[in-house]
Amino acid sequence: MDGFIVYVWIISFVAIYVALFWILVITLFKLERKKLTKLPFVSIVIPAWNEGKSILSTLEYLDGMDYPKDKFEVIVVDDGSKDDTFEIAKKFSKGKDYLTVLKNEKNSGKSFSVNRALELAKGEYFAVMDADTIADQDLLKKILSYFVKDDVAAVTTQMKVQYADNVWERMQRIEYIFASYVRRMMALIGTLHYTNGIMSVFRTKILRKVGGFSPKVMTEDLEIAMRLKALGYDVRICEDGYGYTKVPKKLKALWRQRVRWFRGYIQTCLLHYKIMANKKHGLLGLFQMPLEIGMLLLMLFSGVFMFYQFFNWAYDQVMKVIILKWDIFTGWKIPTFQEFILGINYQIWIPVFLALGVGLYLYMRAHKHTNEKWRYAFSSFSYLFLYPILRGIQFWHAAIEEIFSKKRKWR
Amino acid sequence: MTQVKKLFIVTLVIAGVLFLLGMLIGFKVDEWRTDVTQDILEETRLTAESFMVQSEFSEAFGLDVCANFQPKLDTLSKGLFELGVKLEEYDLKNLQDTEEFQLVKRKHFLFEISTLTLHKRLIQECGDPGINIIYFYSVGQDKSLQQGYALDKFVERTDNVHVFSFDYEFEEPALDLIKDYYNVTSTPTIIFDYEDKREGFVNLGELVRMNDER
Repeated sequence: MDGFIVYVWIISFVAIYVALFWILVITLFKLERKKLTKLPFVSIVIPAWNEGKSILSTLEYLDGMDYPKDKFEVIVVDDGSKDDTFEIAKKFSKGKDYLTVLKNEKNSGKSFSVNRALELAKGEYFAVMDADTIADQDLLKKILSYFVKDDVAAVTTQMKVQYADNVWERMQRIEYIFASYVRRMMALIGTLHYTNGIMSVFRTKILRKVGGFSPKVMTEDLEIAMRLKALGYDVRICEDGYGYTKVPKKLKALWRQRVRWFRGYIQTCLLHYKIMANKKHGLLGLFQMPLEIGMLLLMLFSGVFMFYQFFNWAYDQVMKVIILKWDIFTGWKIPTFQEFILGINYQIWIPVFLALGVGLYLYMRAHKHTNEKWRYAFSSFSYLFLYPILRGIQFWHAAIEEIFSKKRKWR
Repeated sequence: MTQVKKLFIVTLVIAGVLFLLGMLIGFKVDEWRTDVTQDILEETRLTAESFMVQSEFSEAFGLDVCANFQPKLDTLSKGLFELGVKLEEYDLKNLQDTEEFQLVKRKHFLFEISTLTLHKRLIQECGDPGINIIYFYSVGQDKSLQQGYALDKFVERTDNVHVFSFDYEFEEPALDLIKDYYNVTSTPTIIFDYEDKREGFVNLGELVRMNDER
């Protein structure tokens, strides 16, 4: 067996092992929740920057959500938008006592905006919500029912995309379905270290105690969850409620977003490197983080390796065309069934078939769990086979930008 | 935590069992490939034996040895060539390197050598029976793969070409004898009509030119 085949077997074994582990976790474990006897007061902050097109629908959603109006407040913090975000929010706030609209003098970043609202928040719970998001009507109630113990510092939600009109949005749709499913799995074994900006709720007291959101990283939502875990708090996910977000429609915007996320991930990992392989942090330190870092390294390595393999294959095909003077069907005939079966390279296809089988099962379970139908065949194929390569390159891009400390942008 | 630890072990067992099952299927396919090539080899062996018996009979009874010599040699060398292609392909794709498969390869090379010897002998008795190419390759080598394409194309567009291909790395004393005789030290190497040795890749144009210059 050559190096490539050994690589395929190792990768497939790791993929199958991890996938099977998650399948067992999700089959055997259950998330705890409690029945809400009284509804607590919740402060909801919407940090916004140039969200003129989206903020109104988010505010309308909050105005109509299934939660008593005297039990929540909404604080919109406009982070120096150049569009009419502030004016729209201000206009909407007329006659609505629960809604406060603030404006930063200059663009100062999401963490600054969230922390500004945190100082003013009156709620026992503090929810952070993106300005381009809507959610299930009763999402807040559902989320609160997952604060089952005092050490549960944050509960995040599952995510879906609002629109899936083109191939990039459709690929992200599948990605969000999977991401939600995987985060639920992490929550089941207590290794969830993500909160999202779509809608995550924190205990205000704990959030203040740990110093609020960090301005040091590009992905504040990830960093705060990691910090809470590092300090011994728990982060959970609401498994039956969804937030719906708008995703980048074009590759350029998607690329920029992912590079920012990857850079944020690198920054967060570097800030909290002590979690890695640390017994004190249990499965997060001994399993989840090594797995994630391993996957990322694999993604980096795989990108180079796949490119090398593709180059070799392409070179061989070009040589074949040149040698055969374009008559590439020389010696080719339609194989019989036996020839076809015997002609398959099982050195490669056995592990690949196994990994694909387990992967498809997870794909099916994730769709079932999120009540989504199997659709968009081309996008699904692209997501499974092409998107990982794209992500590998994006990670390279992010790593290079981070090494050369390129200026950080909000988005 | 303890429950999760148990899960890690259970998962390892399940993943291991899945892979073992996959490998078992792969081994079964390997066996199937060996059986198929063995069957083809048996057929080729019978063709070769029949050919040799006919030659010996013709010689012993004073018949014309050269009658129908060309088409029979064509059939035999074509069969051997196709089996060689299959063996090389399966050698690359097999999950395990079994003794049975190596035995089939060995028998195939020996048949090729005996057919080659017969070919050489009959040239002396019957005159020019066509083009003979002895080809040494290495399994999985890019240049050998490209030489294979060029030879395929040459065989397709030229009449009466007999290609005898040999795995350079295969350990067989009879093969070493040919390698020593022609001083073959690298792959790909072709020996055109028993005399013209070319080391390295020989393109289609060059093969055609060599044929034209015969």
